Amino acid sequence: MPPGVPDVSEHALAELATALAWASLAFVALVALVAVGLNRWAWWAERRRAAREARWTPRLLALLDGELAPEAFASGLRRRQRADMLRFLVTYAIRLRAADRQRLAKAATPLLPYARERLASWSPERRAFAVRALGLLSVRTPLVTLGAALRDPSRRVALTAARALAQSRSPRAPHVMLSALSRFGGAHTANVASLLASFGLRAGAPITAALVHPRTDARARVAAVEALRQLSYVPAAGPARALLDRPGLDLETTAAVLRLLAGVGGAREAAAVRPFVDSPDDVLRIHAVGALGRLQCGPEDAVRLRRALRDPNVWVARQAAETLGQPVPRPAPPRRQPAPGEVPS
Amino acid sequence: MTPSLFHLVDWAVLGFVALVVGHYLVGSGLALAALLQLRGRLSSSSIEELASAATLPPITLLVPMYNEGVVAVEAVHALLGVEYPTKEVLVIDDGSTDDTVARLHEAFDLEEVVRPPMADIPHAPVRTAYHSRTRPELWVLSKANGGGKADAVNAGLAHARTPLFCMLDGDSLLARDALLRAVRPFLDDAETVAVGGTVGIVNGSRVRHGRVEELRMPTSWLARFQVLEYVRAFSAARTAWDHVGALLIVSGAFGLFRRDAVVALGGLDDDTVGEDMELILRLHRTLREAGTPYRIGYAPDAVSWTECPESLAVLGRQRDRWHRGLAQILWRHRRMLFNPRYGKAGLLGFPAYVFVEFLGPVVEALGYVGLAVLLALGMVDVPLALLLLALAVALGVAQSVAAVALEQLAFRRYTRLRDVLLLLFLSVAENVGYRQLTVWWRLKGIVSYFRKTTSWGVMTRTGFQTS
Repeated sequence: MPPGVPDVSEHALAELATALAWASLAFVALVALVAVGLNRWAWWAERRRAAREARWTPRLLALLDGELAPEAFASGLRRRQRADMLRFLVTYAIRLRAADRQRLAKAATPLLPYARERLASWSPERRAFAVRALGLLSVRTPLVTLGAALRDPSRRVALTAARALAQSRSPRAPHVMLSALSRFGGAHTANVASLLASFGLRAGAPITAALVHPRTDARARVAAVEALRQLSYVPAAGPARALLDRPGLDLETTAAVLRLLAGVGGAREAAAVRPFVDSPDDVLRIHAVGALGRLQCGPEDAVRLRRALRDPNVWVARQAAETLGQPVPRPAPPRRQPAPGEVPS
Repeated sequence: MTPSLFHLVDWAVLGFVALVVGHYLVGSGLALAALLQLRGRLSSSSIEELASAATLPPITLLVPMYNEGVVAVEAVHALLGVEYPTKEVLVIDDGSTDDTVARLHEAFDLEEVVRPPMADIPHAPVRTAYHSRTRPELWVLSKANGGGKADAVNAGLAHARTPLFCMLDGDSLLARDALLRAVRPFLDDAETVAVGGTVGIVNGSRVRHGRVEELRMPTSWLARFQVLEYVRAFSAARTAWDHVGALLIVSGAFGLFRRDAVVALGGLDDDTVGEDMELILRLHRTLREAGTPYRIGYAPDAVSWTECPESLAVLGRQRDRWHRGLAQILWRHRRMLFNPRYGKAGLLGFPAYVFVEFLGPVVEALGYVGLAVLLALGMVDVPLALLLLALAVALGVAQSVAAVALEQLAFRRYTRLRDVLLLLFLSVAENVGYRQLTVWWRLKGIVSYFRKTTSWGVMTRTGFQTS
């Protein structure tokens, strides 16, 4: 036996194997019972949910029709039914607007302290649900609560709070959201832009202010530019143009600003876009040509665009052709040679 | 054999048992934690809210088809019906010799158009591009056969215009909300480059207008065993690997990717037969080597349904191909093995694939042969050998039963009690015959790898059972 290899007797191995086999069998039996139990429990929970909803739905419809006072809606509700009732009301609140949502919110008022208690839960999922319920079911948007939730350590909770703010009609909601814009640096830009744009045109001015603020980080800035573009917020053209003159502006923000200017700019913005048509960076040239094509203010722009038709980058040439209404040049075929007998595309 | 060799074998047996037990127990525990988290997340957020968001990143669904005439129209109908506001369906006909394109032409009123590529990714030449007159979001590329799915996906990738693309199989039936669920990790975390979904088996279920109306266990035993395998792979294994951040596979039957990340890699590698796993390993390697922060995730609640083989010959070819692909990929990326440079993917995920997935059938086959030989020669303690065999079977059953329980805990896709009982029964029954067959097919895969076989084998479709 090589030195250092301890002895394992067959007896010890057999004992270990026996113990493990019995433990495995016990585990299998236990987990199989759990699987069956879970299946039955889910079936029973589904039945219970259906029964509850069958009881609550007529009351809810009566509430929305004005036949039932909001104060009477949740009366007689047991403590352990509060979470289920909140979930039930949230599914309706998503679909309701204006006066109907207000009636629902009034009816949910007795349940909100329970939702607030859950804000302190250790589980981010529970906190997120509490934020969602408070955002959807409060008579007045709880700006302080949602503002605090924007800074929650869990990004999921923060995004839920942002969504709740975006759905709120409070005039202060955009400011609260924008004050924590950098919190969403790690989230997808399109998602944040979508949230900002859902505030509507009333948020145009604060979003523009956040865009030009020197402490706004690059990703948040791109989200702000995209939101302004979605809103077609024309007053943002000037500040966005000024941003292009800022030294050290990153590529992604510059490209986003060029896209924004294409939608909301005028003659002064065309002047700011022109230098980028000759940029050494392909991406900037693509967006600049696209923007200039939309904004073109004089014959010299048409000359620039015709020159871009011969750009070594085929996508710059395509942009130029599209804006000039010319046939779009086709990019080079794929590198691989056609197989014998094949007709290339 | 000398006594000292016996002791070494004892230790080897002990070590392997410890490895397998640890792997199963840790995997099931991690999957349980992840699925509990997922349950909480699903109850605290709503897909409807996400669907109503003003901007969701546009997605191109890349659907490679090769001789899928039987299921093509149904599958495309299903994809067009998937809830997602900004999606494009791009079918890539990989030089089918059946009537796939003709059927699509008739069903969707296709017209010939020009659709230039957007990225320079090598692929077999595209003959014709079509656009549907009735469904503007549907495009079809008819191309020369490139010899595999990777080439077809590369053609689609080159022609895709959206920031995200979804890789599917020709017969994939996406659940109505699958894309909304799969896109969520991309929205939550800008570093996400790929997200895999769950693939389930549709054989035996009722499908109407490309939608799974009622999920049932298949009637064929071969398909039933595969249902159990899929439950084990998705509800337990992938959930666990995702939880530790070492996911090495996003299924080619349903995966969502950031287009720029995959284009930067030059698309899929058409030299391997396991192009989906190869792509994920290449993403891990390239992004780690470049120091780019990234995340590759799994969305267990996003489901795509697919038809599984119901004949031994077709299933055998499929498993042979999968294992051959695994061998190719592991060898190609062998640098990752126990390499701290590749983080958890290199230190945990890759070794597990080498020692448990790839070498598993070799060890198991050696065990069967060795046991038979030693029994015949009277060189082994029979009760102990049988005990070890029983232990190995019990551990396998434990893993399967745990996966069934996890499926019931998190999703409860199989709602009928009889289906759950059948899955539990299959956990035991698969050890007699089916398991040995899969070992044999996987061993053949290893042999084909060393013989440098490159064929895919023929996959026959029977079509979905429609009501």
